[in-house]
Amino acid sequence: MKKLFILFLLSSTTLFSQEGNDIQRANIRASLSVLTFDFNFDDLFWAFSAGIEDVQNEWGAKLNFEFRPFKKKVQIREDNNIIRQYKEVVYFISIDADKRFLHFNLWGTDTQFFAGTKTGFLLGNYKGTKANRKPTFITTPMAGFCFNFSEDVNFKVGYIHFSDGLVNVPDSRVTLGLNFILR
Amino acid sequence: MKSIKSIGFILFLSFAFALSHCTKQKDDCNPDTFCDTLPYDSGNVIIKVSYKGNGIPIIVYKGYADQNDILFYDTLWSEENSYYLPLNRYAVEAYYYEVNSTIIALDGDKIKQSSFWNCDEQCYELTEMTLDVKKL
Repeated sequence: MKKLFILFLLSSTTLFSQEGNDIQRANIRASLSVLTFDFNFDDLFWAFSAGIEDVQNEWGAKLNFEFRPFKKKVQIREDNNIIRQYKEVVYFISIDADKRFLHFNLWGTDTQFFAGTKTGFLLGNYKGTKANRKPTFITTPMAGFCFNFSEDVNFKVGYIHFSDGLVNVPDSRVTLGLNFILR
Repeated sequence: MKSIKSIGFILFLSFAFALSHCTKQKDDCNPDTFCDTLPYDSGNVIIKVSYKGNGIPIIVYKGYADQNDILFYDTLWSEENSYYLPLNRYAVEAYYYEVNSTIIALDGDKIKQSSFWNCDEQCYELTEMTLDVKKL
């Protein structure tokens, strides 16, 4: 997973920098997202994020806070013989970076591919104990489609690999996000 | 930017209005309302387990499980059991023995008492507490 992240950083350096003139032409605007969900059939996270979007070079970086809006029973393997089952409250604080590329028309909407990562710490606590979830540093690669409804609003839908170490929740999730680019 | 400020202000007003109406006011009076004027000292704790014919051992802790203040041990022979316990925080662990592993399910909460005013009397309410240690 770390290799993937490093690969993304290396490729994004190339993608983001392009030509020196492009950097000068960078058009940085604030961006905000309050309706982002990462989910599968077993789990759901709701995310809020704010950051910057370079609308010229089509990349963005955001500070992201996401959480599971309910307490979920989870199982964590303690050793070969013991599995602990908790009711968990969990938060994920991360730096998100993504790059949009290519333009094509899909159902009458300007559409692009996007690829990126969320990198940060997964924190949490459990009901019935004061012991907290062990903070875990994770990188979650993601990729998918970005529908540009207008210059200021886009909707991203894609795949995210969210490896949170739970026995009973698969790592593969869908990510949906409505993003506002502020003027 | 002006529009964001306006949206923020409207949201703030909406929350303030909603919060101001979510508690019963002191001048409310309904003589038909059941009013228990004595505060409770104990309440029911319901413990739910996954029962499939074998007894499920449980440990009930006072406070949090990691404080290790064990109140009692029991074995449940049904899907749930109820215990009448003093108002406090409790945690319960249920042990499920399987062929290759043991699953230890934990849950915990505090028995909560609330009060409201009715016809100038303070009335107490107690919510049953359910601790769900059913196996996934």
